[in-house]
Amino acid sequence: MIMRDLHTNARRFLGSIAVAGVGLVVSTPGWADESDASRLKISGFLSIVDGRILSSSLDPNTYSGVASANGVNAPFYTADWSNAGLYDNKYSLSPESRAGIQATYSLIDNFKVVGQLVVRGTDGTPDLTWAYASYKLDKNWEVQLGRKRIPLYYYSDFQDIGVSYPWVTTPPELYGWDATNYNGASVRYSGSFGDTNVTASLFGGNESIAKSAYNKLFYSTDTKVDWNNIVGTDVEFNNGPATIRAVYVKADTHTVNVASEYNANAGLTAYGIAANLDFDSWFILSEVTTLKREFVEAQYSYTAPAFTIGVGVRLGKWTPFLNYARYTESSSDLAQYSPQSFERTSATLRYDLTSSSALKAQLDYHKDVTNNFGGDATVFRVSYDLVF
Amino acid sequence: MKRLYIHAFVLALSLWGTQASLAQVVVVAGAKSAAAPLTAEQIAGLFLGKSDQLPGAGVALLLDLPESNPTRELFYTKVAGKSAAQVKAAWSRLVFSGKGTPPKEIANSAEIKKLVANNPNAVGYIEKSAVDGSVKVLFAAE
Repeated sequence: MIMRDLHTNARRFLGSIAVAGVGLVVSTPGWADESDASRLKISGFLSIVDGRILSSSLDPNTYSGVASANGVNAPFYTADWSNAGLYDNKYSLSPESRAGIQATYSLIDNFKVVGQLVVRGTDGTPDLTWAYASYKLDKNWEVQLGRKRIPLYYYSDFQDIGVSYPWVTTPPELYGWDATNYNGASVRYSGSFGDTNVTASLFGGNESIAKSAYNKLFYSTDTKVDWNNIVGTDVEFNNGPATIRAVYVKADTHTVNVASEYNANAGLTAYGIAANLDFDSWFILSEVTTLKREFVEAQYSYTAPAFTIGVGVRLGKWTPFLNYARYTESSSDLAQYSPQSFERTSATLRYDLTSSSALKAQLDYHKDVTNNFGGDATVFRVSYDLVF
Repeated sequence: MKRLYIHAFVLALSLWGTQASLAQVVVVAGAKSAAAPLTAEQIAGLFLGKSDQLPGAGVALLLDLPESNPTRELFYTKVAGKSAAQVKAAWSRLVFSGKGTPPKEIANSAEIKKLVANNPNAVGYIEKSAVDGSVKVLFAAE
């Protein structure tokens, strides 16, 4: 993952990341000598995703959803809710393509600063997705301070890294809310008990987004989103082929769209379990979660249970993978909130080009169960994923 | 003619011998390290980033051979049961989420032996034929 030729170019990157992210100024001349060069690691990732809707069905007489979302006319398929990445019937690279660069600088043993910038097809300006300082207290405990991902789901922390999973992208029935990152602190424990490896973390912080990408799906004007008092915990057990992770997160959310005179406070609670089995060739990935928002002023709530289950087999460089996912909302007050539900079956074929790059092709049969957001669609995508 | 057969036989035998020594990989720590013997499961846990504890020695400093070295592939397929792509996928999850540092890539077995001899927490893998008094074998693959 070290790429020395990028070292010089990366200096500027790291400088701005370190300053912006954690308020640490590391002087540039110090990186010139040989011993310091090994303290800096530059890594990165790239996913180029091209896709379109092959066929769709949307009956204008029964469809009760929006006519367009983020400038894309229905029928559309929402591949990335967090970044408002949508496909229609023309091939497009913009909904899901992305690239990121990460710089890790170890100041002393046990202490490092990390910054990660990501650019997306949906938004050309680089986003600072990660910027934190990390200190290892002892062999089991680590404290991190700064900007990180909210680890709401099993793949949240690395959902941009296409190489790390069998789908073209993580199942949107679970992955994809208005906030994906937070500024705050986390404490992580990792240890082993016999043959069982255990990691657990406690995290807390806030997130404030001036122009929410997620809300572009629902409003054509700017929406401000805040997730305040985010508190969460997760624990993961791994024993041989089995991995189980449980998570709980709560936050106070505040959403304001001035143009639409929308202003709502809601309490958010989410919990979930992921269970994965990974044998030498066969593997199963599954995750079940529930997210609830209780609106303070309007006094209603919606609950959104979701699950995904997939099975794959590794045949040398080829990995075929079948997946089924479902998202089912229920509303406590149908007059105020019409629930949305989706289900999707997908078939993916992955081919490992090298140890650090892969090609994938995926076919999705997506059903807009409640017939109110985009319509049914058969989607085809191809992707090229790389890490360095 | 007979001589030729014998020559061919000796050549085949020596080639077979080379293959056999190449096909054996051992996991080593320094001779003075307090590291305890490891199971294949524990080694897989360490080199796939599921655990960072080297039993008996503390936080492990993992040493890798370059991808071009055949011993590396042998190690991952035989001991961890994973392909190079699976290993990269596992580490990229950890690297880009701040949960781990991948093994340090070392040029060759001689360098690995030097490093483990000087660092009680270091653990690496080398060809069995490279084992000498400077290292302690924690695991030998069949």
